[in-house]
Amino acid sequence: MKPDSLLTIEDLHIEFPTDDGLVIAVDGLSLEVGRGQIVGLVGESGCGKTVTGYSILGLLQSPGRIKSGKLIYRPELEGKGINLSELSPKSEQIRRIRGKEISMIFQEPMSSLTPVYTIGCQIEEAIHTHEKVSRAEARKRAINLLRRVGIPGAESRVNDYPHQLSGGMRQRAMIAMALSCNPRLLIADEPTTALDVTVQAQIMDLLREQREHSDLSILIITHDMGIIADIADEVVVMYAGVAVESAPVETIFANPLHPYTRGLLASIPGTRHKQGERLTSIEGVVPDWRNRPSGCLFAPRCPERFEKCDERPPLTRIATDHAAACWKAVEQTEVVDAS
Amino acid sequence: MTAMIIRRVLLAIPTLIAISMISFFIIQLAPGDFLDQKIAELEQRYGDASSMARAQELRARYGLDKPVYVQYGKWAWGVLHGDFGESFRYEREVSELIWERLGYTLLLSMGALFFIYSVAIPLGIYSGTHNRKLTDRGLMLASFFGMSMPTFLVALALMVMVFHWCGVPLFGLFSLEYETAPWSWAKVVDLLKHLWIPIAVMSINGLGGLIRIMRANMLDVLGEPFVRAARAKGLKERTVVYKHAARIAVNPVISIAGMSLPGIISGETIIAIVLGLPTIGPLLFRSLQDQDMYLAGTLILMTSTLLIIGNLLADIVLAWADPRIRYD
Repeated sequence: MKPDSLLTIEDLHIEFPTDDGLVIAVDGLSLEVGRGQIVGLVGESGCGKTVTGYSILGLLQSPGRIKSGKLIYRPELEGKGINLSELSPKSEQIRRIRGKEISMIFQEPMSSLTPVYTIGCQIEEAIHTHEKVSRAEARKRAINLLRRVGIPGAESRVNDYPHQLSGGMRQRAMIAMALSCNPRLLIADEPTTALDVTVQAQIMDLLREQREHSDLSILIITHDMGIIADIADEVVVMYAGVAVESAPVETIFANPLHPYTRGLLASIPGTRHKQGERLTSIEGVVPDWRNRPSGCLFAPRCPERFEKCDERPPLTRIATDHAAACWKAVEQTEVVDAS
Repeated sequence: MTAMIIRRVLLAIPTLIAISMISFFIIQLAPGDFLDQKIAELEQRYGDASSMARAQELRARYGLDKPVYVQYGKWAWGVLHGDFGESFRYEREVSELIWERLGYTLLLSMGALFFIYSVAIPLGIYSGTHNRKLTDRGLMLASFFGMSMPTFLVALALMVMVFHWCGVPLFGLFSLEYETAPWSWAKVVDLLKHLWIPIAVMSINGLGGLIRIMRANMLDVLGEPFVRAARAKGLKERTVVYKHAARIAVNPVISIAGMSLPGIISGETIIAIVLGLPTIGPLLFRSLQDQDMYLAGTLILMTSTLLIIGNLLADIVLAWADPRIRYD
């Protein structure tokens, strides 16, 4: 554990007991968000990245639950930090952390604001929940926040209802609300998926500014490698509920070790491709939750699998800041080390 | 908003005219008229021509010898001047007949409406937030029974039970000794003692249905992203449920409330007949049976007016409750 860690996820397991059987959504995920860092959690739909985000704030929808694992927030507190996974989702402690210490913004800016209250009212509600301030003071702060997230005419916009704002403006308002109590960590769950590309870039700039502005850490959850390249410092690649690779962003792009990461990178259009060359796609589909492979979860789709892949590879440190869960990657490093 | 109200009120006028016309003609569609029945009755009893002459006289008096549209015109002209005509059966002013029953009708219907909404909404919220728990399942079972129970049967069963156990006949709104007595404190108390049974019976169906509607709305809304976002802000669960979820889930119920306004007049007729209640429902029923046109026409006009008013009120309340549907 680094001394400047803000949130450390250790061996997190999340499951959903359903009538049809137990769905394993997250199967031993570990990651770390340092202070002032932007960590990207990337993976395709259904890999468990959103559920991971929800679990941090105790927002898992029933019947989802954390089966085991630790979510250590601010490890310096009383020498051990707060283990968020031990707090009941209805407890007073988690409620004090939500919005105050850790905030979250969501994939659906169109429907993440309650339609019957003005955005000002909803931002002020967040402020009043955590701080004792006068109504005038809260209003002033709401206007300042709206200004800070780049909403033009904040003084009048504060009285607008959500439906009077565009999608991009709503996401800005959500960000303003999330930042209203100066949290240390912002979990951004696919914040730009529902928005068009130009707005996407603006929102990313905005998030970056906030980090500069207030030493905010951000855990950004996305399926978009472009966003990762754009904003993240560290990347964790997730596949079928486990982390398959983690490294600083430059390393991931320059030297991806896991075949899944390589597949993801090969499937984005960009400079790696020559003109006229076809984009590659990863063959096969994500393993069905009913019959998860006992070995490497990616093996059925992996072009490089060999005998050893029948055993589940642990996330192994391959270089100082680069880890991968792949036997091939481990083997190759050992060869390099030996020579 | 004001423009919307004015527009709606203006639109209501042709609607009401059309409704009153259509209903007036439909009542007349059946062969014969009220006086045909009366004549048949008179002939059976006396079998002479004098009754025929008397019937003709009545026919002329009520304008029944004229074509339907003339009758309608006459009646409609009267309505515009506050004269709703005369009932054939009761041989009294329609307005007088309705007036003497209006008080009890409003008391009972409003009582039932108030009871239904004030009980169903909290129970629906409770059930929605305790999805699949034992209490929720119990409530759903009970509301299912409430919805599917024929109310006249409940009324009969209650009458039998109350008579069996308490030895008091449960009929009408007053005990015998107060029936014709002048108003006094004791009479009011007696009325209240009788009132709960019809109100309970009248509420059973609506209550069962509304709890289920409110519960389903709550379940829908609780899955909405804004509810999750509200929780993520650190709000208390109570605030999330009432201020954010229930506040949205109640909107469709407002429209339903608007549509249930005509039930004040025409609703629960069967219960009123079974329980012998002096309300307007049975009056409407008889008037349709007898082709007592002016009475029936007036009652249908009242019901339609209430429907239009109810919908307008619901729209105004909805616009106030939900900024997304504000009419500018």
